Amino acid sequence: MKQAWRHLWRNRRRSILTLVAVFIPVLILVLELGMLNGEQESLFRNTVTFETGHFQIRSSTERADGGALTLMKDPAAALAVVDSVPGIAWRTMRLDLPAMISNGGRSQGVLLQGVVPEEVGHVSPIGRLITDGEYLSTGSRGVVLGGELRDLLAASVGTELVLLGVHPDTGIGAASVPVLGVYAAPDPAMGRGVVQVDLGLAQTLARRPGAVTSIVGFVEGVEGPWDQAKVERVVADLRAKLPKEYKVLDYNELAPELKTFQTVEKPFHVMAMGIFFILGGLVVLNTLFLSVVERTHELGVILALGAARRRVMQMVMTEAFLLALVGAVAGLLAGVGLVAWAQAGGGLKLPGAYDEMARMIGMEAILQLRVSVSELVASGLAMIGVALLAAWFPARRAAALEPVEAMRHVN
Amino acid sequence: MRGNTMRMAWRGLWRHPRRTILMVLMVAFASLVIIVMWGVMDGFMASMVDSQIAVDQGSVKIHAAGYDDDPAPEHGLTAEAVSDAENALAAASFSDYAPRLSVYGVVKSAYAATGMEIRGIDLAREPKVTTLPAQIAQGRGLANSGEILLSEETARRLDVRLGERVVLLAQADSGPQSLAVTAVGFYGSGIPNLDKNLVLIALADAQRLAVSQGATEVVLSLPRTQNAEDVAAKLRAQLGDSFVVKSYFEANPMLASLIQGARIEMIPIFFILALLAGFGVANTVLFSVLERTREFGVMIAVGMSPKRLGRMVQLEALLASALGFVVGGSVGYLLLLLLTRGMSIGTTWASMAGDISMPAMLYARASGIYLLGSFAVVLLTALFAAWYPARRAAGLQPVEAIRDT
Amino acid sequence: MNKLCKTAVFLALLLLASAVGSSFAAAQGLTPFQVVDRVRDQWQGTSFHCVVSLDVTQAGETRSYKVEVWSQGDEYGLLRFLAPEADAGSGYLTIGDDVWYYAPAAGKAISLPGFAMGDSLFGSGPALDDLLHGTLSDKYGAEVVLDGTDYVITLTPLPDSPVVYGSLVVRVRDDFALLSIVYNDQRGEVLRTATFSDYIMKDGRALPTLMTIEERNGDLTVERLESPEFGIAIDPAIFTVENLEAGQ
Repeated sequence: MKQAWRHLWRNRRRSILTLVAVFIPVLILVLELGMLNGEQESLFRNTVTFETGHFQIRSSTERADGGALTLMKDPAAALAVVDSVPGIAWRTMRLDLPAMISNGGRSQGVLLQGVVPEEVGHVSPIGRLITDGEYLSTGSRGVVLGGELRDLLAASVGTELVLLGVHPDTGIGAASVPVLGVYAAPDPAMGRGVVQVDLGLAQTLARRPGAVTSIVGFVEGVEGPWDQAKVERVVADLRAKLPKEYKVLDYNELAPELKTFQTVEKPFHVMAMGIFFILGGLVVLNTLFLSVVERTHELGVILALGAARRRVMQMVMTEAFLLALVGAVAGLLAGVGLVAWAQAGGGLKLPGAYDEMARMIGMEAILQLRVSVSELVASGLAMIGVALLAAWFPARRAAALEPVEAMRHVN
Repeated sequence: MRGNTMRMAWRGLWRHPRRTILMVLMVAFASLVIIVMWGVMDGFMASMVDSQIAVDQGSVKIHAAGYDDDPAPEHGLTAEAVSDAENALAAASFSDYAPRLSVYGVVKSAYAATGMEIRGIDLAREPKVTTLPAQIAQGRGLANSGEILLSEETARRLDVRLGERVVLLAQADSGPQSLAVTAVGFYGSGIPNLDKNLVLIALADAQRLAVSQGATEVVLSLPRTQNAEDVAAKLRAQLGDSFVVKSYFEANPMLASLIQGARIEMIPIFFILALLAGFGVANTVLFSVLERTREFGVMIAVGMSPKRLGRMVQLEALLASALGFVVGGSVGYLLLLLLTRGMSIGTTWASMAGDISMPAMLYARASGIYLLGSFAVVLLTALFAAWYPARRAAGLQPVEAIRDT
Repeated sequence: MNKLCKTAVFLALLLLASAVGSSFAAAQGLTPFQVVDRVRDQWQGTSFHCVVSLDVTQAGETRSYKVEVWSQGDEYGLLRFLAPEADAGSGYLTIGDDVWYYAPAAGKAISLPGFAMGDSLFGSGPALDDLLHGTLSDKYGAEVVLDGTDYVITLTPLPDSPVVYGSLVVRVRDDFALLSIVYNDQRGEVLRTATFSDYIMKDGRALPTLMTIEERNGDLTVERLESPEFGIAIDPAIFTVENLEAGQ
């Protein structure tokens, strides 16, 4: 072993090159993983916070035409179960129903979301994108609509509009309320089609006081998609305890694009990084090969003196292993260091187009970088593995030398 | 003299074939990866965009001014506006265009009803513009008035079978309108958003439903070789303010910047690949220079100019890289050509991809640009790799060199 | 609620349609279409007023309503809720193709796009509409057979008719009282059955005052007419938006 170190030290330049060939792929993989995890987390957080929650409880009977969600007339039973299951951080309720909104002669069909404002105001994209007026507060009698809809109805903050809830099961509920606020929608279809009101008002419009279409829940201690097991446990618990007329959906079922990221995009990007590993392996192969060539004479002597061929091979492999180990560890440390540095600054700021996109959903274009210990270990081991594989050929060559000929080799 | 140097360099390389092969391998790998990655990435993006354009959106769309703010038939193109637009297109020698009338209405079966986009298409001309009317999964395409083409998903949702009648309901200025149509076929678009929200009928039927003689848009299809933005600009100038003309990318600006972003992200990757390969080449060439110190010393002592020696070393590095590029580049390009025929991304991936509206077949693009780009990268690598060893060689002191064994 | 309103209007039209049956007595030997034409001529401008009580059973739950209906021919109709409390004062007004809805909570009447309610107002209406508006011959083919002492009229929509049904089977008693209407889908299966009973005699015609509509999925609507009045003079001011908004 000491011999190996000595030799490596003696050929500093080549050792350094091999180190670099191991270091770079590992570093790049760590950074890429950091970004991928950050993206996944970002996607997770946006979807879960704004749209789906960690899980939702809905009525198990679905409408054939998929138009409106079935009403849960009396969610008290379901709520009692939810409150009795451990591990749930908080929950809120929603009532979504198709509605008509009109100002005098102008009317539009919209999707009306009844929410509990104090619970969702700060996380709902609508709450974050108010440009005019203000957002809802509990018990408020008013509606928040998109800029596009406001223009279509020729209304403004304060205009009294008529809302008609049109749930296919319950008929028409009506109310006349003012515009409380206007939001800037990320896309015009949403701005034209989605309005929010207080849950109580929505229930009036659905003509079923106390009814909701879904209970949205958040599980304790879930920071990112890696905490999926926690959510699954709570969901299983709920499924066991809830009566049959309810069904529980977790965020993966509510937002299949999250699963796709995990199973399609992430592996794809990681495999792409494999290219660097291969090239790094080739470079390792190259340098080790040269190293063996350089030492032909020396190796010949060693063999002539009676050393086992296997020992020679081991020697080369050990050198390779040491280099790979140092290079991989250095790469991991550098990667972790960079990630930590970026995180210390609050995350990676994304450029240009990403900034615009993020702002449209009311978020900042910052990517949090995260790497898990298991990912780090796996990356390091993978590269060491590749390096060892690359070392095998030169090592075999070294072991296969003819001592006499080898000794004749002059540099 | 040049030729001589070249020959010396070449011979020098092949004195140690295995080493040279390794160098070539490294450069070949880097070149191949750059070409294939670039082609696949571009092709991938293009596949997604092209599939939208080819299946449904068309290359350029002409709307009436004000339509985008409130997309309803009453804000669409009047019959005159439609013929003005079509005349302008014909005058510019375009032939693949067609008018459409889209109205939001209810599609009703005996069991369920749901609101969606009801699009009336010109049965003769639309197939030249988009492929959706021909993407039949069951039954047949539209051939006459009184027929409707639904997606398989919609047919499932409303429980409609082939040959059954459905009723379309829409609200026109003059009052509610209803129309009976027969489901002659079900389509599969490969784009989930379309499947969920679109049904196709004959233009005349849509006009009856919307009580209109005009259309809501005129759609133009262009071959890939033509720049859609240029065409849109020209049409815009010609048609004036009462029309809004947009190419697909102009109508979807986010997409364009996303694609650009992806392209830019690739650049550091290519450079790092080149760097690694360059390191490998440099190392080998340097090793061989050091190995030949004595030999070089003799050559200089005998009268060879150090600079020429340096150039020879450089040539060695360049030749190895060039060889690597030729090998890697050709294999890479061939691979791309193969992939342009389409990579099916497998059924499990395809069903998941459907959720994020990725088409199930991805095409790579094979273009000379990738070869050029890869070549440029490799060239840089080679020059960089050659620099240090060449300096070393050129700076050798003959006596010391000979003495140094 | 939608089903409710639909059935109330449906009922109003239905009662007038029962005249089809009774006209057979007067017009044997004419084709069904000719009979309808005669009926239309006869009933043009006929007015109708009634209080209707409805029990709507949906998904196992039953709700009861009481509405007051006025209708003038096929042009005008007003429906106002009397009970339950939550709905009292709200109502619908139809003038030709236009529909207005009013609820005290809304403060003013709103014009509705007829189809936006989905299946609601005119769900099964059009089929009956056709019987009344005399477009029957344009939209349906008809056959009559005798079954015991009952007449069975099978109406099959013509291919271009904007009707989702496969066929309607109307059963009429020998004294031309309407017994039932069965709605079939295009696969020959029953979608909905309307049965009529509790006839009262009015000008020699038997008019049903109890109608039960049963859907395939088990949903049930039971309508009871209380003291119907026909051919009375109705103040045209009743069919105005102002009156709708008056809520009384």
